[in-house]
Amino acid sequence: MVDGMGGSLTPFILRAHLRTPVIRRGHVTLDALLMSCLSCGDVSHLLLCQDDLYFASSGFMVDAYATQKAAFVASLRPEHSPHWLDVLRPNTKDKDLRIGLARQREGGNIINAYTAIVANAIEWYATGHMQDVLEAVKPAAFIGKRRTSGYGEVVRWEVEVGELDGLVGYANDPLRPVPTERWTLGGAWIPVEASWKAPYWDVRNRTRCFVPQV
Amino acid sequence: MNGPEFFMRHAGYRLLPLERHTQDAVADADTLLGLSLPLHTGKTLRLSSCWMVVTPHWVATSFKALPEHGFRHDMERKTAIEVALKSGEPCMLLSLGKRSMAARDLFVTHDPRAARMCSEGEVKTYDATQEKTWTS
Repeated sequence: MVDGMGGSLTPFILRAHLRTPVIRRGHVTLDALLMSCLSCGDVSHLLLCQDDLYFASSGFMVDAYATQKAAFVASLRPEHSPHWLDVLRPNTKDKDLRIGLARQREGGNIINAYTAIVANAIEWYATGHMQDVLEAVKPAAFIGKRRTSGYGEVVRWEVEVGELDGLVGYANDPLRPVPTERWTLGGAWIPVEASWKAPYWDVRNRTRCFVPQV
Repeated sequence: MNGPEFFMRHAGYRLLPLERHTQDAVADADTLLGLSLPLHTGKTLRLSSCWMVVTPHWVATSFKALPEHGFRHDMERKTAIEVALKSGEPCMLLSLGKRSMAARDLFVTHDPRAARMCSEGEVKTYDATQEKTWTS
């Protein structure tokens, strides 16, 4: 397979060997990881992409042998920064900015609970320029959520030639969220509403998809 | 079709005043979920502290909406969920607490094996066919 620039697009496996448990929410697709690493919204120069659908799988755990709870408390103190006084120009006698009781109640100690997965590695299947992808992800020392707390530390990245294209698995199963109308292989997969293209946080990019069991 | 589009098409646009329609389902859903709505009791209330089951053909809810909205109030929550899931059509299950929901919290259930109970800031996915009361 050849891309528009003349380079060869090959199926490959990207693997991140982990030192610490990793926390993830949802599908960590390789295109999303690359977009995060490169701070851009288009990585079609690295991965095969057809009509906004990247041939890049979700991240699959390798030798996951345990899970653990990870909870963090954020102490939220409702107060305005002084510069908001200039922006909001409160129409009160003493020109102060008060935060109502209802808004104050939203503050306080907020617990964010996660489940961390203990695994040897996490790997992705994709079609693209494997060496360029490796160079792009190499600077990433941590992946997943709560990276700054030490979760998802990567010991090393490696890439090798693979067999899967990043969309379809060995059992004709989806390797990433794929809109059902674009899935031609059949199968009794469970359709769910999911984001299938970047930006993945955008509700408008959600539709009926077949998704992998990660 | 995503969650906000499904919700607004089958339920939301009946509640949202015409002058607030923007044809952007996501923005309209966010508007509606933060809006005080008239109840049949004469009071007004945000769409909160209630449950709602939305299907393409009917909407059942405990929200005291005005009769002209055409919502069903003749079913218990459990019954409504079961009927919706067994119909084989997409549906939306909402469990609204006191906090406002956002458009991003709205998910369509396409299959009872991955039923999605939507509440504010959280979506619980479960296999309804594994429930004790489920008989196909």
